[in-house]
Amino acid sequence: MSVIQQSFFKLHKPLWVLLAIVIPTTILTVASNSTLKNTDAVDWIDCICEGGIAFMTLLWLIATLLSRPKGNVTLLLFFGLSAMHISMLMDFLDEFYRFDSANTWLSAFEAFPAFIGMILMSFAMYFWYQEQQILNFMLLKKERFYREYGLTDFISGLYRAEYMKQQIDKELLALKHHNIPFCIALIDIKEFSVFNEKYGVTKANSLLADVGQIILLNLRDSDLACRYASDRFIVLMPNTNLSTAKQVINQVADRVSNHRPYAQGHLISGSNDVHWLCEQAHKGEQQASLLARINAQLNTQKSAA
Amino acid sequence: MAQFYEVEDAIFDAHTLILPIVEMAAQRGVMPDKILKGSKLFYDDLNKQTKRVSFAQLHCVISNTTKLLNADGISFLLAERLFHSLHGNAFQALMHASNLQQMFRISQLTQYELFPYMYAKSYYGNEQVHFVVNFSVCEPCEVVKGFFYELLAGLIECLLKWHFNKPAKRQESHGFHIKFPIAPPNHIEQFHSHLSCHYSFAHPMFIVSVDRAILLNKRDNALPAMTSYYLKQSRLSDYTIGFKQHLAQLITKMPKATSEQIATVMGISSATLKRKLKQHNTSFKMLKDEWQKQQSLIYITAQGYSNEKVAQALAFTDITNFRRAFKRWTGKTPSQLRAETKPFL
Repeated sequence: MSVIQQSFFKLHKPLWVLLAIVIPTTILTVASNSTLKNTDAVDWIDCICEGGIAFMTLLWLIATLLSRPKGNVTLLLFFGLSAMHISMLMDFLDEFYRFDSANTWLSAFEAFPAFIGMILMSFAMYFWYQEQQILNFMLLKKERFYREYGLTDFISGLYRAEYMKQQIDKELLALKHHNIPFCIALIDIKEFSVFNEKYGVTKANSLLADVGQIILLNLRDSDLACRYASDRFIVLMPNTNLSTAKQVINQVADRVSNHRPYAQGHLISGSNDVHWLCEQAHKGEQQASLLARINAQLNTQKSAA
Repeated sequence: MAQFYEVEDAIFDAHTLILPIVEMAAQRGVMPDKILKGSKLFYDDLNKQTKRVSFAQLHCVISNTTKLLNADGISFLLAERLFHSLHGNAFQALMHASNLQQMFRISQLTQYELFPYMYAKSYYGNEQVHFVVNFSVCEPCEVVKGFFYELLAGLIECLLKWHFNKPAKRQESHGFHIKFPIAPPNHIEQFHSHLSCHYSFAHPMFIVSVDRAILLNKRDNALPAMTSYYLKQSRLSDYTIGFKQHLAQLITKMPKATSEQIATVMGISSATLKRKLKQHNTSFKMLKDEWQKQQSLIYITAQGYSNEKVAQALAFTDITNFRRAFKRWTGKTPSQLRAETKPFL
């Protein structure tokens, strides 16, 4: 993870520098145009609350810079949050400083950055919404109804078997109560352990990621693909009969086996044929027995080949 | 008397299990310091060729792994790696064995070189041979046990795939059945994808049952002469076993002995024995229970002993005592268990 964070740190270098200039400048401006209050004149509860608000806005600002790529949404978020932070910071500082009578403009100006900041943030939120819509569309076949990042598989980027089990439970209910049929497919890379040995773990992991993406690309919008375990993927096809499901998976298998990864600039060929199996769920079946059934069937199919 | 190693003895190569675990965790976004936390090991140490670790340290690293990467099937991936990275004399002897029975004998003889963490005892039934597997050094905690069961099952799978590599022979691998003493786990998908032999859960002990019919089947390209050559090369004189295994052997030899008598045989005081047992997460009573429980289950389910015969063989004073103890171990009376297992025999 530290590699990723480092790259985001470099990516937003100008913004970090700007932030490092703006905050001290604000503090200096306030300090040079006012006199320090007596300690007994300070309202400490106010201090903690306003200081806390200033600190939290700074935290959000840092989180934004660490997590987002470059772009207009990031810029708007940065300037919006920075402006809000300046207001909060000044609000916090005036607990300790009394503005000189010649500089009353300072107290009048205090809330202005926050106002501008909120306008900027509103635009940022609007564009962020649009951006999210596009991302949601891209994630369409990777997730259904709800997002749970803890269930993501680190290597393939797809969801794990656990997520699929939850979705299968839902479909089994729909089958039981509304008679809506669904199909499950397993896709298993042939001789993956040989590939693993020959080209190394890193290459093998990226093959898994590739295959995951190819499966996603060749599914219909309503389907869901997850990584099951090891070199095995699982696809849920809701409201689909067996013959349609087989057509879909046949197409997917065809595409996966045509994929040619590169190793040190050279094409690797004939390494990712797949075993696949498509089955319709029986009414009244349990999720655990359904999964056990199709996996056993695939294993038999593999050993017969 | 055989030498034995204890839980704190640093005798295992760090690069066989810990280094691959650390690397696999890093590939999944978990940094080495998290995996090594509490083990007093540092990542830089692991790369030294001579670095040795104790079972306690291994236990700690595996426990961290199961907490952080429970669903990733690290145990099964580790098994594949281990199988492909074994090159020593013991492994060569194993690979040239002419049949499964010889393989088992070799794995017993070279336990320290091949897989020093667990050991197996074989029991012959009418149709099947049962290999009961226990931990060699100490009694691990539940999650670590689960990890080792998966690791061993993964290794057996690799060995079977290699042994039955010809399509005509694949049917024979159905003569294998791995019985796990754990409830069906949440990450069942790892079992589905990694194991092609039969397996089931919730058994009273870890057993690998093999049809006797395939035990003596000859492997076509076996070279038994090479087996004896490599066995001679292998350091059989250094034959060592873990502390728990050593005690289990003493109990088997002297079923009626008290813990004081066992301590005398080992040449230590009974207070030292008690302290050592505690350090290994077990006690004299637990070890004796384990032996009697496993032995009686095998006698009843596989070898068709009567209660009298079992009670006699296991040094019980009378049958009532045995029946009571059996109920405590398994939750069933001997006759209930006989009725349940009859259909399978």
